[in-house]
Amino acid sequence: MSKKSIIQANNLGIKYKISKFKRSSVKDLLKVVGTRNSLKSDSEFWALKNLNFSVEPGDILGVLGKNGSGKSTLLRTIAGIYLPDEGSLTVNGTVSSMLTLSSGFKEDLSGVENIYLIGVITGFTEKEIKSKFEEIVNFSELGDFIYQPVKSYSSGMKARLGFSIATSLKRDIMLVDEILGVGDFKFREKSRKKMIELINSDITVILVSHDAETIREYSNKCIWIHEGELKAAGNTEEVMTQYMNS
Amino acid sequence: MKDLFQLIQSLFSRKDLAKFLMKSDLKVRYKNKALGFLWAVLDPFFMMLIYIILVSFVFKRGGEQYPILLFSALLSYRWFTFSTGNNVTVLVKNSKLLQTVKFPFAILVFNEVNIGLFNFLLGLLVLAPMLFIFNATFSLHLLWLPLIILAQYLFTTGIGLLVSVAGLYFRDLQHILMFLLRIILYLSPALYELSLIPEKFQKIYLYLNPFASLFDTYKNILVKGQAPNGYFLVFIGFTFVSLVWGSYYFTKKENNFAKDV
Repeated sequence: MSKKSIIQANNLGIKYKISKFKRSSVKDLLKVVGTRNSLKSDSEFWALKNLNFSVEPGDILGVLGKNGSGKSTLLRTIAGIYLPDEGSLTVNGTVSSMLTLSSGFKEDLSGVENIYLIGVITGFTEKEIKSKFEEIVNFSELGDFIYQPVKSYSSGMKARLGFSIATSLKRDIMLVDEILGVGDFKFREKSRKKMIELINSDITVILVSHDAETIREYSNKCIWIHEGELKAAGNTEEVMTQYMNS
Repeated sequence: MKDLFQLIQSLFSRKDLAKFLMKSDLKVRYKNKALGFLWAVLDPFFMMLIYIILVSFVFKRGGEQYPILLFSALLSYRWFTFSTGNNVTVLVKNSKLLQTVKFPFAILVFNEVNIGLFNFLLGLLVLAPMLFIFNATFSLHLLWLPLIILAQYLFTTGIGLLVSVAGLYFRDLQHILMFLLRIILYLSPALYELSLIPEKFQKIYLYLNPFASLFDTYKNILVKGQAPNGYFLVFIGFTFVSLVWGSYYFTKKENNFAKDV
């Protein structure tokens, strides 16, 4: 009990409102008035419910679950994007995420400009990014392409750049969402090594995947979420066995 | 008020972000065009040209200094329209970003105001030689200019905070707003002089329309060499209300953006 948990979820619940009038426009408003259908009739949907788990510093937590089970919602909540609607989530550290990988780039800007832009958006200062700049460019193997607009990149090149940014500009806690199979075979090997390097450092990683093998390979701890609720938690092998047998 | 201070504080803590957002936005906007930044200047210039042809040549009105009177108000109007028109969709356009990273989202609103300001300042560079050509009266009252710009900056930000949130929950607002912004131009003394408004309505006009005193003040200090008059306090009042209300509304809704976008 001496170590303080880096992430602690108590009865964590996140709900979405399913509004019939979400994309409200004049037409929708007229509908409301016309049918006297009050906005209170919106239904709720709990994406996460009664979630209890903790993560210790240095843990690699695998999050298992089918598509739509609430894995991404959990990552967003840890990232501070969603606030708990119920219960609490305590995060004692800074968070960086690999969620940005494919969607974060501005196509018209060069690789260099994108590195800085993503860096500052995720909370790093210009100085910090500058000090990591060479590392990012070298790891991405983009060479002179780094000065070209990102729209001229192949999807593999984009993925490589994204991976390099995310693993170089890191925080206490890193959120990883389904990205380990990046680029060609050679780069995959390299990124695998990089991941293992990260795992052996004191960084805490939350790894989300629907691929059980990825989770088995990297994580020491595991939670299994099914339809927003915690099915199992514990060491990877135990949870994995239950997940496989379900 | 508390929300306002917290908002400002969070923005100052992310100066690098503000800088790079603006830099990359300007690049995307102008880099791939042959004339580049020149467009920021040509844009209001052509708009001015149309009105000059219409008013000076077709209607034979406006007087000798009409081009600079018009341009000094038009630049201010363009700034407000540009920033507000972009801010109404700024949250929707950045939905991916809002759902990926947590940062002070108001910085996106500020960014649109900053780019508008940048265009405005470029426009002033074009206006400057025109002021000489058309014999503007220069005086020390020109020193008011930075303060007037600051006031417009804050007003545009306050309105930006309001419309960005409102535009997220009410998607039709962007179309309604385009219409409103057009009307503002005709209801405010940009194309014409304040003195053209019948005297008995002038007072109420200045009290109700923040742009009346704003445009009139730009004309006064840039072209006529006169100090801003007391009615500018009306504009300051509008600024104060929009900032306090805008930051309150924005802060209240900010945590829901990622879910509601």
